[in-house]
Amino acid sequence: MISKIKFIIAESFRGFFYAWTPALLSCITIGISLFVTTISFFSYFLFITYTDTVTRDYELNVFFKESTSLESAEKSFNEILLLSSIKDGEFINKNKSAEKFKTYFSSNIEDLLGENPLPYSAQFNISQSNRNIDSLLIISENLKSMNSVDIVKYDKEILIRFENIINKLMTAFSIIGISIVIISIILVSNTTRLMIHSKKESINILSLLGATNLFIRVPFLIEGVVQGLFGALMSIASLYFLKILMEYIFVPLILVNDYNFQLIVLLNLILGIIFGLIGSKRAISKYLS
Amino acid sequence: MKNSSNKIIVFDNVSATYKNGVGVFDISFELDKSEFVFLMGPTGSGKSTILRSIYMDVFINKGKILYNGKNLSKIRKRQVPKLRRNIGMIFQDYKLLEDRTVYDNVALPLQIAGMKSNNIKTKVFEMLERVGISDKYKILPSKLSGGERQRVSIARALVKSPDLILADEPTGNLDPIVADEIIDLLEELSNSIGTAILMSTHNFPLIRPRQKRFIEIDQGKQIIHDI
Repeated sequence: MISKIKFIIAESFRGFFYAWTPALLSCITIGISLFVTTISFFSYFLFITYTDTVTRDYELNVFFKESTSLESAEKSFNEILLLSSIKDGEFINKNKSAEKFKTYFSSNIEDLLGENPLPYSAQFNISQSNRNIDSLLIISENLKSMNSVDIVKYDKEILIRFENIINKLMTAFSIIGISIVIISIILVSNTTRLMIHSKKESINILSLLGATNLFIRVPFLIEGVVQGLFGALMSIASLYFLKILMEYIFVPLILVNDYNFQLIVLLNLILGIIFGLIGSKRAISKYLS
Repeated sequence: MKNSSNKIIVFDNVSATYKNGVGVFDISFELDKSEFVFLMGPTGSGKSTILRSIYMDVFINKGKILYNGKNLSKIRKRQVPKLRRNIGMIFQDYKLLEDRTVYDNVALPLQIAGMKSNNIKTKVFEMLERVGISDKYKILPSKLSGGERQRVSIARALVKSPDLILADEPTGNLDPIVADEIIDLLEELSNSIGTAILMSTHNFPLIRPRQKRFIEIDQGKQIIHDI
């Protein structure tokens, strides 16, 4: 058994060096695919982080009716806070409203009008799962139906535009990512097919000598994994140089910390193996019945 | 049909045809254990089809083939590799792995069988010694002459001590002197190891002086039964 395993492993590496030109081409293809995929994913995560800061603006301003007393406004505020779609909120009484007015207009409203006509209001942050325009519309309609509520305000237009942009970018990222993965698998598969074709005679001889299908197939699968690993190493090396370059150019904006890079290395190795394995499996299924 | 207990191969009214209708028809013969028999006929007469049907590279559509008493038609596809591991094969075009040394080529059947590397080494050198090319174990097949390549092929077929050797025109690419040497070697090994050999050839003058039994095939049909 050990002798068989040794033979299969030696056979995999022999195949790799026997047809080294297509093998190298396959490694480079996987390397480029992984490099582009990593950059795409990294950009995607940066984008997600950015959008997360923007989505903090998902908040609702509720203005209570002028006739509403402080007690009933506070009661309504507490009722709204209990809704699952609301994360937290702040009640704004007349004094706080006056302070805000002073901040915005540099004048005291009571000095201007002789009294404070500003209504009681409240500011609510929306829970993470409801941070989309559809949920905001529903929440806003529900709040408007409350007796004490006069106006519900939020940045509808900006949020709709923002969501559209996010959706388009997400679609673009998905299409690019899926395309890269498919192209990579097809290229690896073609390389393995080329290798199988060049070794057709050897496969035939092995079969005549009594080698089982598994015995013939496994070296090709290992060869695919080896190609994937070499490709991953190429990608990791390129990403490392890119990281150094980024650190050199954008010193205050270093985005890749060591923990992130370790994760990138791990993901590259795993994806490399998967690409190589799927590519060679596809070729084997097609050529070795 | 005679008692098949001492027979390694029994062909009982076997037909095997390809899609274009060519093939072999109603072939019947027997091969004793340790016997050396020639399968004689012109090119395209069906000799290779008979050999291929034994190692199940071609499937028969009539009759039955018994190998060591086992009906080959009842062997499942996944059991074919095991069957082939028990049979030694020699081909006209040698079928050696060109990117491997003589040693690696001869060791291949033993590696497929999962033998330990120490035992492989001993067996391979013993066999290379017997076929007279032990000094060339490090050489690639492309550096060898036709006769030497066929010796490697014979060593590879015999290294696993099979009970049957199927030789498909092993002398077809060799000049008459070397061809004679190869048949001498096969005869000698057959006698000493006790392996049965079924060798196909189209060269009747080559086998005539050997005084061996032969089966003649022409256009897929058996012409002369056991002479």
